[in-house]
Amino acid sequence: MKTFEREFASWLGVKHAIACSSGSAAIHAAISAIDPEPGDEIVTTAITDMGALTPILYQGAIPVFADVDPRTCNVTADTIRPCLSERTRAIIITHLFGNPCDTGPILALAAERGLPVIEDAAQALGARWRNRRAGAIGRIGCFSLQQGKHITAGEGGVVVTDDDQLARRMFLFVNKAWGYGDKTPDHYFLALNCRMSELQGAVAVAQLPKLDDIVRRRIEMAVSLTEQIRDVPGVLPPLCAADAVHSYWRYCLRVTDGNAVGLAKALEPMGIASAPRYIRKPAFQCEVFAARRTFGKSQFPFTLARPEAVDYSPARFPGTFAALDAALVLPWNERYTAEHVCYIAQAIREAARCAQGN
Amino acid sequence: MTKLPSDQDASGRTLGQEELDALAAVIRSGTLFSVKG
Repeated sequence: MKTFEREFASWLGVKHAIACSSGSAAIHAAISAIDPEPGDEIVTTAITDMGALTPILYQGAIPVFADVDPRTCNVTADTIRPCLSERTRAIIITHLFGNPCDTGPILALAAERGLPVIEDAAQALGARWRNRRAGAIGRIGCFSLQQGKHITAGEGGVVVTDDDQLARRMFLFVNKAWGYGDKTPDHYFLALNCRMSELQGAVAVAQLPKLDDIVRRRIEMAVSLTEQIRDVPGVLPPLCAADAVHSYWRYCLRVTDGNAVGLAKALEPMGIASAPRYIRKPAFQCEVFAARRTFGKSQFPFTLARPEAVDYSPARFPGTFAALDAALVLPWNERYTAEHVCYIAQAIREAARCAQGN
Repeated sequence: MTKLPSDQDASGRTLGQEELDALAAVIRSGTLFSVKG
């Protein structure tokens, strides 16, 4: 595991990498390192895995959902800005599907407000922004080695930073905050055992040297698909931010006629499983948020929230709803060949025609 | 119908002898029995 941490840090170009049990644990370690006061706010997205959100609640903080750009499903500086308050402690940016956020303006906004940016790069191993790897751009980066990710250890995660103090805090968090190696060790603060096992570490060490080639092949085939479906009516390929390299954990089509479900149904008989609407609904419509199901009947930490911070009115999230309405997520992997991609392109063309009733 | 590789099984993944060798090395090293916390 230590070998993996060292080699991952080197591959990413950061000072510290701490292996942990999952991508959710990586986010949890990051939030713990930020150490918010109860009721403090962390700005994030509602189009993400719940594992990137519940750690905020466990740390007593309030996730404040920024809207997204419906063309990318990603948060932007413009959608984050109205969510900032005097209680904001950090901004999490999720590079969804491997497609980096338009990071420059976000970094500028965060710097202006003195806020750390946490990158959720769980889906973005190998993605780049201005020649920096996703996850190595903000103050903290979080990664997943879950079963379906670019590389996997069956499960697992990594949290990274260049900051010595944050690294120490994140190392402690995944180790029950026990001061290993200290002269008089103690459990210094509230923390969990989120360690990666040595067996997972061994698989991860063997996977890491393969990552660049895996990403290269995913990109090559995705670019080919984009070229082949450019003229298909009602379907748009992924849109990348300027200076960004998408690493294609998934290939997310945008269906512009509002019939992503119909297109998915038409693709199914051709052997192409797809996920219309991705996570189906924004995270804030899940019961944990909508019904505030947290610790017993307390509704903590929502009880500490500013009303505006937990206002989940649909009118506040036009981009989020539009993004989910249009999303049709195709599985993607490095074993796709030119023949496979040609088949997928033909299937999309045919399915689009069927879905439009032509 | 063309059957596509899937990342839900080994057909879409890049796992092989290197991973098996690394696992064997860890098991032989005894580190699994070293209590770390």
